This record gives sequence, C-alpha cells and structure tokens, in this order.
Amino acid sequence: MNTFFIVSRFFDLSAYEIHALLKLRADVFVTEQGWAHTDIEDVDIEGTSRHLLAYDLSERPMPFLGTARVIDAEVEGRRVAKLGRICLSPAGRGTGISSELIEAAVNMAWETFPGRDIVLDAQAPLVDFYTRHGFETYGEAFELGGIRRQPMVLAAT
Amino acid sequence: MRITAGPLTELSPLQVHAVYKLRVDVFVHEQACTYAEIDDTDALPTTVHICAWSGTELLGTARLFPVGEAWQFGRFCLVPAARGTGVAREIMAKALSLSAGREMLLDAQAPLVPYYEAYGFRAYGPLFDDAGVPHQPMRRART
Repeated sequence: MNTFFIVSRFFDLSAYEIHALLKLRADVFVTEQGWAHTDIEDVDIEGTSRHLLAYDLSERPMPFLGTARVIDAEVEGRRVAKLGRICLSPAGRGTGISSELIEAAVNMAWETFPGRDIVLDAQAPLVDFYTRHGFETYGEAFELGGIRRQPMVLAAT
Repeated sequence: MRITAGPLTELSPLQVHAVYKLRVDVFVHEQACTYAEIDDTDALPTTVHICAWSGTELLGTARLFPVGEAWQFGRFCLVPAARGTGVAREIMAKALSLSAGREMLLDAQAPLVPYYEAYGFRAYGPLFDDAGVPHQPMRRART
C-alpha cells in the first residue's frame, strides 16, 4: 500500500471524487451506523471547509481509503478548527492507515486554520485512539444518532 | 425553470452536492430510512440524472438507467418548496421523452401507485419491502 492524501475544497473536486466521498460517508454514517440524518450539509461546500481524501496509489484504479473534513467552528466564544466525518472505506480498514489518516487530518486543520485549537466529537470507542494522537477530552459526553460522543481538543501549540 | 439531463460527470461539483444532498435529505432523513442512498449506479456513464433548476437552485431530481432493453426510473424527489408546483410533471415529462421507444420500469412507493398510473404505468408483480418501505413494481409499455 502506498497512501496518498489530497486536501481540497469541495468545488475543486471532480464529480467522481465527490461521488466516492459522499457515498462513503452515507454508507458509514447512515447505513452502517443506522442513523437516518442529513449527512450531506451546506458546510461541505463552504469555501473555508477542506476535505481530505486518501487513496492507495499502488493499484489502478486507485482504491479510495478514507476521508475527513475540517470546518470553521466556534467553541465557547473562540474560533476553532472542527474535524469530523472521519471514516475509512472497506478497502481502508485493517490496513493500519487510521493513524496516517488522523495525522493528515490534523495537518489539514493546522494548515487551513493556523493557530486554532482543533476539536472533534469522538465516538466513544475511539476516545483512546484520539488520545494517542494528542487529543484531550473536554466538556460532557452526549448522545447523537444513538452513539455516545465525547468532545475532544488538540490545543494549538 | 430549467431541466437538465445527463451523466454525473456533466454536473458541476456544487450540482452533484445539491442532487445527493436532496436525495439523502428526503429518502434517508425525511423518510427515516438508513439504506444505501448513493450507489454505484449513480456514477455509471449510462445513468442519466434529470434535474430541475431555478437559477442555481435545485428544485427536484430523478434518475434513469438501462436495465436490459428497458429504462429504470427512480430517486424521484423534490425540495419541499417545489412540491405541488408542477415541477414533478416537468421532470416526469423529460423522463418519458428520454425513454421514448423503450419500456420504462419503476418501483413505486405504495401510496404513489395512482400517481404513476396517471402517467401510463401499470403495476406488475407483488408488493415488496425495501428497507421498511413497501414498493410496487410498475412498468410503462414502449411508446
């Protein structure tokens, strides 16, 4: 496997890239996790939002491995970079790229919103995973779509 | 209002976003159904996405794709503000004209069977359950 990451605004992606991105998110967050929510949002196409797309360069056509999104957000009155919609495709699972994906997502957030803290709402089983990547819990856990979520922050250095 | 029809690659990034967002908003969220809304068929070069636009704003959409010699019609939905305004009729008229000379198939959500009958579709085969929603297969003879 030879992982390649693309960071893009939504409107610079091709129709096929958008199809793969939105299909993966719907497959994971709607169908697999059983949550009938409005997964595709207007914030996806905001000019300040960035999408991370991971591909495996070692095969043709390149398997799509996973994605993440960073958006402009506010927490307790200060501007933050909010990561979300982080998921791996079936082709990306069990390959050990989840750490590469979160590191690339963090880099995307730093580059897109320099100097800001990075926040995310971790699905409860993933709190330890994000902790290993420097995130700390803050605030109260809450439930959304039948899944317990814990707000976490990676402070700007 | 403007009607467009073509494969996914003829839509701009923001248009793909609008079409997929409307479908997920309606068929997943509004109808509370967690099925695989966006599927591989959407990206096939033979699939036609029919869209109704007011300026850059999407009013409604549907898709057509070949199944053997027939055209399968589906994913037909409108934004709430466009319902009851005649937009659906324009989308259906485009689908019927694109399908001229071929049989058309669709799986109607059960309460919509009379709606499609008005366009010449007839029920065939038994009702079936698709992710908790009863559907009736219908077809419209070649014209």
